[in-house]
Amino acid sequence: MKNTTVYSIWLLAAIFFYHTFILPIAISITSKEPASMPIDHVATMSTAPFDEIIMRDNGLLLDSAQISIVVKIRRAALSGGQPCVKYPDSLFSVVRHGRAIELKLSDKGEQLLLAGGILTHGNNKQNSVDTAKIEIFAGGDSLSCYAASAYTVKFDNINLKKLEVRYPHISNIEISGRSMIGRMRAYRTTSIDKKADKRSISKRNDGAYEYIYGEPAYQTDSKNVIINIGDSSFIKYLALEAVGRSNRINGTKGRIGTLTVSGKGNLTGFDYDVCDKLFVFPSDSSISVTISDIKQKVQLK
Amino acid sequence: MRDDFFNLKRFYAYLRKYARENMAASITRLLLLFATMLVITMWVAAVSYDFEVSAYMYRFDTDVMEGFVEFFYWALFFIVSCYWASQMMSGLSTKKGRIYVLTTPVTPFEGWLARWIIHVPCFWLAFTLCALTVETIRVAAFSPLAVNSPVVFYNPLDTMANTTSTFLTCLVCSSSYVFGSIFFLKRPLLKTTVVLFFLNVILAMSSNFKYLDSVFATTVNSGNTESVLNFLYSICVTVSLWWLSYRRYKELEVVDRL
Repeated sequence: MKNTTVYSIWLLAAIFFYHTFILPIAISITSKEPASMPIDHVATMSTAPFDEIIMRDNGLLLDSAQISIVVKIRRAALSGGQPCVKYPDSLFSVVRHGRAIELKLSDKGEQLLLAGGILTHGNNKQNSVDTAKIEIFAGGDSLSCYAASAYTVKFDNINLKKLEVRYPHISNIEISGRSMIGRMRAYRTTSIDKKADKRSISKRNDGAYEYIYGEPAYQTDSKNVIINIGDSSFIKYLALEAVGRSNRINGTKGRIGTLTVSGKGNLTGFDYDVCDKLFVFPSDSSISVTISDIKQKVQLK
Repeated sequence: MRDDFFNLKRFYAYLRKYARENMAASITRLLLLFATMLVITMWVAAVSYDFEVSAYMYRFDTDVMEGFVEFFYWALFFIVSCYWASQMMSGLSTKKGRIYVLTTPVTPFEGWLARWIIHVPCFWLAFTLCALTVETIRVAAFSPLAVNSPVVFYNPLDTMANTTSTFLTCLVCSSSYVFGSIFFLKRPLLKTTVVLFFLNVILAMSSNFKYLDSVFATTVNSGNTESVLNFLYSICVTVSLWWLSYRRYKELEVVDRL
């Protein structure tokens, strides 16, 4: 056997040794345990009445750390009539701007998630959590929300004349606890400024429907809205913009008076019994609505 | 023969001779490489860009070709550098070729170095020039026409500098083919590929698939021990394989044996 063949076998052995022993040992010695933060402490911030809630995800940090935030919005009467926000103050901060309140990661929370840290119950790292809860008690008749995709917005036992939900990517909206909503609009926007990007069907004062045009949106699966209506909740008029392909309206216990679907995406898993009237307004492309579980006579046109 | 390891004048003369002898094959390969790059890039650009404004058009903030360009040049560099390296000892598979090499009045180091320069650094240079030319043509051809996206020039050298770890993986692979070309004188490309495939499967299984993380890592983070170790490992393995290739070249005989 030539010398080089022997050396090649040695090199091969060294490569095996490196990958099976040296590298795993070096990694196990130098790897640090992730930092942790307990999120049990809940702060209460009482505030003057507001009509806008902005739920931010700093640079999609919550999304990339796979942490979901459940925001429950309830009537202020349930907390003694005073609007307030109950939130885990180690992870979040709440700031008020005029008639709007803004939820965002606190500096400490942002640093922890940037360093790949984990959220826990208590100081035990074994009790890690991936969901944080925020409660908002809102007063007033109208509300506008901007929710980043890490947030699931639950309207529980709320009574509003006007509700607007704006979302940049995916949005989960749940309406429950015998909530009563007059006019609700859900649409995708890339801006937190509600005046910057408005696209939806709107009902004018004279009763006619008008389409508000805007910049054409790029259609992907990551721009969907999922609305769950339950617990005898009622929405008198719901304007929904279906941009993505997996928009859904779930729930058979709730009810919608008039539903308008606009945009150029799909609305799937839609139970026709939920609503009294359905209007579809395709924009610059087609829109498809999949109706399932028809139990009564339906007249489509 | 004086200077029995290295003489610059003699080496330069041999390098010119070797380059001239392999000119036709090298130019053919380069033209094929350039044509492949140009056709694929132009075809993908033609289907990616919109040339007329329409109601359905979405205007992108960044070049729609960005992802493709970054992946394509890397993939092509990886494949072609391995092929080019495997051809380093072409001509030595026959007895006649080996006799020709052994009777050439240069030292084994000079002979090996001349082949290495043509098949490794010269190929990198030629590849970069081809990629830069294709990028220039793409930008010149599509920037006045594309309406849905800006057409941005991507320097392949910048992309490589940002993904050092991928470059190191390419380096280790191409040096494996450099060694394979002299270890397996007949069908070096096929035999080295088969050996590397099984070697990687065994390594991945023996390290509980952690090995794949280091192979497919995209960046070298100076603060990360794993990245630093992998950087040193890749450099050591590459240099060792080149050294083994030289040793094997030195041991070359008219009758080939292991």
